[in-house]
Amino acid sequence: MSIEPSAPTPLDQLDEQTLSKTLTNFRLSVGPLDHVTGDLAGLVGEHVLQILGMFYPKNIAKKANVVVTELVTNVFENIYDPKSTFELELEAASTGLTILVRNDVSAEQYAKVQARVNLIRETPDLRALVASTIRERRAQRLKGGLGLMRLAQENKFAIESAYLDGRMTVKATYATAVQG
Amino acid sequence: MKILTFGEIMDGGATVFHSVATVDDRSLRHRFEGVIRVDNPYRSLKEHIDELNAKVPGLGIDEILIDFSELRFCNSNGFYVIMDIVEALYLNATEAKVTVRRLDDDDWQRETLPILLNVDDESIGRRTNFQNVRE
Repeated sequence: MSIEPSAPTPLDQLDEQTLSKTLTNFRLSVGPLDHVTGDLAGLVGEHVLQILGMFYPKNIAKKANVVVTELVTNVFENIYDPKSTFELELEAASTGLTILVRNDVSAEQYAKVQARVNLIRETPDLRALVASTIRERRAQRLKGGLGLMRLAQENKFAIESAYLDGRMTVKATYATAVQG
Repeated sequence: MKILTFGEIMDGGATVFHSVATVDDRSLRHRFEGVIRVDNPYRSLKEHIDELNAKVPGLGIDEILIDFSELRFCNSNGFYVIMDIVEALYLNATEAKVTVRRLDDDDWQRETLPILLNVDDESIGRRTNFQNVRE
């Protein structure tokens, strides 16, 4: 016996609350990294902004844009093996956003990221940490070092990192109040 | 109203970001428009920042509007140039009250922008008023 398909939601019932219950999964894998000569981080960030903007509040789509842009930028500013591949996974639902990026890094590179993630997770005053870090790094015009802090302080994501077989995973999670 | 100085960032053959300062009598308006994503925005905006530092002193500016409402995106590589520009305005028009127009639902403009403006500094904070607008 076949299962009857569901009836489509009438257009006039596709309001914001209904649309925000959409489940969106997005996966991208690109390699080798040295074939990328353009602003891939920007392109993917804008792409995600447009797709999520179709279903979720604009603020959620903007958060995803920032996170994707910062995490993918980190990949290309810290390439360990130019012949390797990076992966991006994004899941959006009414409960929030999960975005992760996986790429090859050395143990030394991972140790720096892990230290930064630990600092973010353990600091009692993240805003003060961001402010002092920006001022210190600006004085020396240092590149990088702000992206992960930004995701946590500005965009309210929880940040985790892991390292397995030479590949680093950075995961950013944002939880919204569950819609009824 | 006249244009005092402007800077732009080009990416892929197109202008992606404008930073424009205009003056009308003793009022200065600085408008940011577009996106900052490039690797080194300072390279594109250095002359603009230098011009602000050279031209704003002596204008007798008593009110400044810094308008971020058309700035759609700023990656962390863009933080320093934003700081350079707003610092040039604050430090070279020391008597001016500053209104900062920003987007109400933008995390960057709500959370990080006040840090870049350094409003925690009492001398900056008391001169600064935020005007929150919807997109």
